[in-house]
Amino acid sequence: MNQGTKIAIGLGLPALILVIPTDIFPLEGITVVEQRVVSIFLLAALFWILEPIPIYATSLLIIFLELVMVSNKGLNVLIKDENMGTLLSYKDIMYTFASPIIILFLGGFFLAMAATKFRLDQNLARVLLRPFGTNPRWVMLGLMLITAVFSMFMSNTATTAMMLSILTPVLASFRDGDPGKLAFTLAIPVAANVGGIGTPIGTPPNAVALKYLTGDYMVSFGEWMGFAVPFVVILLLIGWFVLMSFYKIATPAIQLEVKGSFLKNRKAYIVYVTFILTILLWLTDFIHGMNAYIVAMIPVAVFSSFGIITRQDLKNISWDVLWLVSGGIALGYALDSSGLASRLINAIPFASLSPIIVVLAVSLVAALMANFMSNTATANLLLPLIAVLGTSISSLSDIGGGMMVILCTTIACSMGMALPISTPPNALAFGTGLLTTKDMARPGILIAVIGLLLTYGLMIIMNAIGFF
Amino acid sequence: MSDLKDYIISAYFSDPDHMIDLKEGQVLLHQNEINHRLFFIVEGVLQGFLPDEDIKDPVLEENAGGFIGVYSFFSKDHKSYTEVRAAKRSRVAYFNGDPFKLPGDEGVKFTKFLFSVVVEELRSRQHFAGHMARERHKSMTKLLQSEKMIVLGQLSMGLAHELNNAVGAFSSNLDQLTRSLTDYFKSHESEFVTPYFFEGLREGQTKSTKELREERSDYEQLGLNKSATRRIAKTGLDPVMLKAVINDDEQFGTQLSFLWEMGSTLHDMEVSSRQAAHVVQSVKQMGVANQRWSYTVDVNKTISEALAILKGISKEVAIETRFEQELPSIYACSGELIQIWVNLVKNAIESLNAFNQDTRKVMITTQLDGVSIAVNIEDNGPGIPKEVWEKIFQPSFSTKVAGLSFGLGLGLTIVKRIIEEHGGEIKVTSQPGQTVFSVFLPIETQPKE
Amino acid sequence: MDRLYIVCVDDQREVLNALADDLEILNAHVEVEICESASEAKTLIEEIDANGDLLAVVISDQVMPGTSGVDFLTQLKEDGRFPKTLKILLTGLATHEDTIQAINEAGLDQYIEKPWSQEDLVIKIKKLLTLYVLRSGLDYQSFIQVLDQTTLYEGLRART
Repeated sequence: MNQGTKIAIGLGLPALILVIPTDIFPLEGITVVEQRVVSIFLLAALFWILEPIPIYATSLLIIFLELVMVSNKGLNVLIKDENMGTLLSYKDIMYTFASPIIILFLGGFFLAMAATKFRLDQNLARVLLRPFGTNPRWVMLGLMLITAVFSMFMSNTATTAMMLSILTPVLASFRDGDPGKLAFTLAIPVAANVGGIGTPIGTPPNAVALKYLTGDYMVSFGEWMGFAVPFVVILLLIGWFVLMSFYKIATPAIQLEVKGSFLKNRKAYIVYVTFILTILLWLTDFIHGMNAYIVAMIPVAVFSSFGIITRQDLKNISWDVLWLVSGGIALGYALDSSGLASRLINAIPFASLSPIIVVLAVSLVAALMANFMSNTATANLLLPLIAVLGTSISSLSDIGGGMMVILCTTIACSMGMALPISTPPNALAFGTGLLTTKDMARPGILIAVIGLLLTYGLMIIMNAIGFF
Repeated sequence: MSDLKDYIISAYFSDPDHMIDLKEGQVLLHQNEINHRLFFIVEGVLQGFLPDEDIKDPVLEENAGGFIGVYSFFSKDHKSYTEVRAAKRSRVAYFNGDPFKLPGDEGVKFTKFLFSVVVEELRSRQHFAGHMARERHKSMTKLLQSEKMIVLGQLSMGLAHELNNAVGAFSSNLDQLTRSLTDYFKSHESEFVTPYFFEGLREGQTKSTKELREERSDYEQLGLNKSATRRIAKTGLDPVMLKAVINDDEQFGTQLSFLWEMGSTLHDMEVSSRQAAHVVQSVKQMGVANQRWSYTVDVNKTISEALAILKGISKEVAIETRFEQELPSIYACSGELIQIWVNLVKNAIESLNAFNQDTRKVMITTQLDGVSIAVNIEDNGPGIPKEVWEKIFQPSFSTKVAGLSFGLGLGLTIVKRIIEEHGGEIKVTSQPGQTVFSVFLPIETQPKE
Repeated sequence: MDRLYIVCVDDQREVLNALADDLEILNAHVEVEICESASEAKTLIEEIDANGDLLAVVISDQVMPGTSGVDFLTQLKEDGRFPKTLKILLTGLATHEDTIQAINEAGLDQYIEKPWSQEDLVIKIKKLLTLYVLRSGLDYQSFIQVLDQTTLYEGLRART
């Protein structure tokens, strides 16, 4: 499909929705505003799936279209009709650019960037790898654990890039045709993808989920890690085992070498201290009362003040990732504030659905979509709908309610790791040229399926201990 | 002082009885001859020589108004240390008394004058010695330079010899390979793609990169992938014809361009090996052995040798020679003459080939033209534009038009220099269909220093 | 999507064909164009620029009739429109002075000596392509097959 066709479909179908008269719309009592939101949602879905333009651009387009078509300060000819429904506040739409969730992520970016700049990541990797010796099985486990830990606080892509650059020289020392090369090369993206689940800032889908985890559903940074980290560890061990059984390592011993030593200068110490302090404060909100969003401002403020992150470094911040999330938040906001969400809850007979089937279905859809498109875009599209679903199916409350469905779907979004196009870490591993798509897909699918089953198990346990 | 000189000359060197007339080459004083006379040169030039086989130049020289025999006249043993000869018809006056025994004031005047003569003599001998030293230095440098050239020449001869074997093996193997492939493809001519091997072999790639880029879209309609499209465009074959032949069979299309490229590669290799062989041959011919100047150089023979070197690249050109059989031998350097002919004939061949003319002719004539031997090299090529005539002998001017071109990097500049070294000259006249380079070599050429 | 170009300049056709053959493996992701002279390359570069396509790498021979490689690359640098374009001098016949001039005035990024090995050439080109993609902020995933992994990792690590 060429770009023109993609754009034609992406714009054509939503336009078609717009011209259907509200009275024959298959949703009773729908207002013009709600109809427009449906149209924008469809446009977002098509653009994120077909990708005629970069996914962050789609996010910005969503925000722009919302501002023009359904905000109280939109284009006058479009919003002059009094009976068109509840218009959205343009300010609230714009706030999505600086939503607390975005600030949380920005804080994470500052931490990650300072860590890379002062080689904290590399030096930590060096120290942490040491206890794993030279037995390739243990070295691989070490690599996976470290990758996972780093990807909890750094972007999965940057973590993968760093770990692959450590691994690449070692791959040369493998025996020719040793399948162990495949195991090692795959271990890193698997660990990065899985590790992202570990914290709210580990991967953007988690951040998108935070928007729906407010009020009664509130989950603190510490609580998230409380259930996610054990999950990550178990899934990593399984992943480790799966990779080793798919690709037997023949090389008897390998030596990973990471050069360098911890920097010892004023700025470096500031980085170390801030890093530890921020994480501690994130985990101890019940003591000091500052929530994760406010704590996230600490690295932003400290690193900027001390010139640790410079103006030049700001250019390297992945603004596109932040804006991608903003678009998702804006989409959810529109769905909610236009009244479309509650209309959907009332209009569709969700209550009659079996809660277990619903959970299985949505998590499967999420995992499938995430394999073929951006995990974040998947979360952007699905989570607003899931949030509606969660509140509308009363029978769900027995097995964890809306919060459970949201968490389950969010984790499922991180299970997209079977294909080179699934995530940037997978693309990087594929780029080494050592793998075929099949090499990646076989263990990838198995780990994802086990991951989904494990998610269900986690949900059952959390429900049993009364977390929800 | 000149008053004094005039007085002394008129008083002591004007006696007609004390005058000697000398013919050119006549000896005034032999070496070691006892001499009691002081000579004044009235007219002519006298030179002093050391009778030594190796030193042929005079060690002193004096013109009219100067004195000769100063050393022997004043020295104790009165021996002349050079042989003094007249360089042309000369007249000298002499004085053979004792200047210190002249009476009164006369003695003072005479000795005063002699003092200036002696000092002048010293100065001029000193000057002469300095000049000689400079000359010697110059010739030493020249000698060193030429020794260096000889070493370089020997090195290149060694290289040429080594390369000759390698190039020979390479080109005969290449011929063998081309023949085998040709035979093989001939015997499989029923298969549809094989003719394209011969297409490639015959001409190689004729399209420029610019043309290829411009015409690429014509070949895109063949429905091949990007790489295959580019390959097949290089054949330069008519896309409409190809479309019909390939008929959307991608495999066939790929095979076709592959075979064409195979042929074309062989073609390029053949051209390259021919050129390599030519370069090696030329180096050998122009090598050390032929760098000697000799009095018995046969110009016709050097042309024949040059043509032998050029055999490889003159296949498609008809070369005709009309030699004047009774040419005198000349004093020349045969290696360098070969170099001249190789360059001129090669230029002619290249300009003919570049324009793909149907009949390509080069005519070489030699004839005796008064005091010179005239060699004309004439081709029926497109001619040299008049505005370029001036420039062709300048360094780094090239008329290379298209395609493969090698050469020895010598060019017309060197040709001109060599000809000038031989005391000759080169002329060019050109018009479309007739370009003539005329080289004139004097029969009585003296070696230039 | 904008197309990336690699432009090769050399006066000898055999060299150009060899370059094009060696770089054929990049064909699926970038356009490799060959030119027989600097002036031809200039015309082509104008076309590329006019079409809004991107000039990623220029490989030029030094000794050419007309404009020399160093002069051509210097002109390209002074043009100002292609600050991110990476420049390679490919030659077996450059003097010390040429090389120094090329580095100082043309802002040379890489020097490759004739004869080259395909492996070496491709690795170097991939490195430069990666730098171009990173510098231009292009989507690296769509070019990942023709990028140098190590260079890419370094570039990505600097990002969040």
